[in-house]
Amino acid sequence: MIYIIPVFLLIIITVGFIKGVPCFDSFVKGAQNGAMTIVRLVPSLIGLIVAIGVFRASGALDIIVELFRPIMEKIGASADILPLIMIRPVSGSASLATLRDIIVKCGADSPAARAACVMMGSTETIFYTMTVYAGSSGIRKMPGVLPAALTANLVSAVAAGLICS
Amino acid sequence: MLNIIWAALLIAGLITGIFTGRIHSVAASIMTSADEAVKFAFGLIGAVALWCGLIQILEDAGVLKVTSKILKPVITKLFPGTKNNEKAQSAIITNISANFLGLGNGATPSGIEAVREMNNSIKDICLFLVINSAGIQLIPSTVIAMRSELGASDPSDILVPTWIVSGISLLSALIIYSVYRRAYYCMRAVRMKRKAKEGQ
Repeated sequence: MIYIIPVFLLIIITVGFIKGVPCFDSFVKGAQNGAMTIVRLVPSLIGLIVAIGVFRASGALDIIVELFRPIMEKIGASADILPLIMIRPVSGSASLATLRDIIVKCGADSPAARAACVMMGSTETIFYTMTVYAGSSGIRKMPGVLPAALTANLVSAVAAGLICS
Repeated sequence: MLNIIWAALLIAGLITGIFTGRIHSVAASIMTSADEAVKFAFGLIGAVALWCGLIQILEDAGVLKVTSKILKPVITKLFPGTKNNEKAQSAIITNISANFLGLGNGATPSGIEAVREMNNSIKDICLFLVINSAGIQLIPSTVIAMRSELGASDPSDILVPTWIVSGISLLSALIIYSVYRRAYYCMRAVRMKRKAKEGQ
């Protein structure tokens, strides 16, 4: 596994070099975009991490997680990733804050945290995407998209739980 | 939506904190969370910027042209409505490739353009969204950055599981979508028939 990233890097630089791309200039341009994206996220992350922190520290999150633990374990998913399942379709930055909370609570190498990471990488903020695309196309009714997307969300939670256990 | 969720989290959290007697830890978490959020975000910048920089090299090398050549036959099959619409096809391809490479910013504009160009076909737009919902991504760079920041022993060890689960999730989305659509149009046909009968 440890080879994947270095090999990608090698491929990228080689391709760029052969194609005569000004590699460093391109890199700086892209990195600037990436850095700005995160910087722009800071205010929403502050708000969301504080809210989730309060919700967690008060014990409210544990109450909900424990309430759903039997159901979650029956379908084969870890109960700890429940908050992510709920928030993932709604907001990207909120799921980032939630994922962080799960990793901090369970430990980065725990099965639950790994399952949450896998789920984060294999799902999409579908409510947001639908709103944007529906707004720009003028189509109101999209039969089947939401049930399909929400199923994909749940399936990926279960599959991530199985693969990381 | 997020406005409601955010307020609800805070209100529910604060009230629960009072009832469970954990108001001390709630107060402490308010103070530390804001600070942690900033540290967390800045901890992500390194890896995310690195990845975006590398992808920019690929973009400038014309990788999108290559992927569009590979994807074109598939796109024509999947979205029959775009058969003679060069613009729609290239927008779809750019969107899928941008999502695949994790260019969050690059994906939305091309997605909007794709949807606009497909305007005449609701079926194509729906399928496009369903494919989007599985979040197919080569390297989930933000997740890996987070894992390394929060002390994972091998931050990239979620890569292969993520690919597998993305595939499963895409498959399940497509199955549910086609089943639902069939049922939806069946029901609509039945309803229309009944209405026609009542009209007679």
